[in-house]
Amino acid sequence: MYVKDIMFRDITSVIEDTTIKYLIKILMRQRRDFLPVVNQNNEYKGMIGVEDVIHAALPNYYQMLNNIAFMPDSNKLVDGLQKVRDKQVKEFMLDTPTVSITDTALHAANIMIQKGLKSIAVIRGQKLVGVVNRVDFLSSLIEQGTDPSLAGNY
Amino acid sequence: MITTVTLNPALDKLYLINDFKLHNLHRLGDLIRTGTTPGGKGINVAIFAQRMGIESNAMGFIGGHTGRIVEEMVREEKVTTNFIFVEHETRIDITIIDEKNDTLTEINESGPPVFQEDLDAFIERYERILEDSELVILSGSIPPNVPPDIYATLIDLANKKNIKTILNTSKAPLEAGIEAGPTIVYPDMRSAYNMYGKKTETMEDYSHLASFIKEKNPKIEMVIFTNPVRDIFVADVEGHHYQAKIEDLRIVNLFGFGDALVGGLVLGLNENKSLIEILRSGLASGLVNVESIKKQISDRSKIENAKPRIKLMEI
Repeated sequence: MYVKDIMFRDITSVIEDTTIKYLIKILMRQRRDFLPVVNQNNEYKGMIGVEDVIHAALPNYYQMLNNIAFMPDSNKLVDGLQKVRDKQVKEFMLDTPTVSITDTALHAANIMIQKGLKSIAVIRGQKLVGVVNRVDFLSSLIEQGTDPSLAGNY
Repeated sequence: MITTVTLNPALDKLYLINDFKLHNLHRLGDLIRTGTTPGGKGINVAIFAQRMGIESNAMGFIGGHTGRIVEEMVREEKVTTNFIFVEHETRIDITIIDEKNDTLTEINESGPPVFQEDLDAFIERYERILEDSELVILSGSIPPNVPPDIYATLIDLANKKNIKTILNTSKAPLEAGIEAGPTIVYPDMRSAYNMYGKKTETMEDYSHLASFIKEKNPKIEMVIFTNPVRDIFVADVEGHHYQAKIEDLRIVNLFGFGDALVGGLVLGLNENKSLIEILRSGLASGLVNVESIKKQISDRSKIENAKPRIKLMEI
């Protein structure tokens, strides 16, 4: 099984100077949590998602503590979002690894697990051709009747 | 990769109801009597091309839950989706066929409005995808709020990057698009109107109109007119006029003829064939489509087998 057999064939993407505000609008309309970031030539630059936005909106000390238990109310988060809404995604995106359409699905799963990624961009050369989300992988495997935890035997 | 643009896609619902009566309740007992398919001329061409092994991506405006269904069905055909999501629902087109009484009833919604922000996002995404496209297909109607010169804008952008385009639409968007110089112009004549104020009744009328259009812009290489019901197939190919005669044409289902024809043009362009052979490929695909009850073709060999039945004569 290869990446091309399980990938999500959509190339909706944002560019590096897309604002956080606009990114959230697209994510909301498309009900997605992450989007690939590309340049003007449709070449992959990174991934940006809800987690990156939340992280950006939290004041530094909460980011460091990784804990909002001591936050008095949600206003800090609201304020934080207002501060970043007009900033560009390139400030917060992560240059995460990619896979190609000819890689095996197992290879993609391996990267997801090792790097803790929920979504990986699929490229052909440098160009974006789709993404693989964890659910795509699971959905294919379950149809095959294979237990994902046995992926090492594939 | 080819890029298709469907600005106003639809979810097509087909109902087969014998003795369809107005002011009545019809309960459709089994699922076979209904069909749900993604609709929109560009989408149809993308699906055709993908089935023939040509990587295709579908762009346009999609919205709401209906839009999500259309998108998923397009992805099921292995076409890559690249739509801009708008605020409101993608339209539903209903077709009711009464086979017993030979009637066809259609109800088409108008489509969600497109706002400036959506249009800007579309153009931005379109310019980006041009970097990865060999051919752009612009077909179908345009949704509310979109300016009628949208196809002209898209053709201009493609021309700047030397990317060929096929324009298959009607009325104001067609006339504006023609000025920008698409590679192939295939006017959609289903909603008969007097293009440029000229009548289109005889084959000569179509032939003159083809020349008229061809002269609008030097980038136009071919202009095609078809009217399968009246057995009219003419084209202006780089200044030469051709008429096609199709042997034993047996029309079973006219739906999708135009999109199959465009699909055939894509096949020919993809294989760098001569314009005449590209035209033949288009007509052969249209022929296979029209003689089959199915909406889409899957078998490439059927198209090749249909080619000898097409006689092209210079007029």
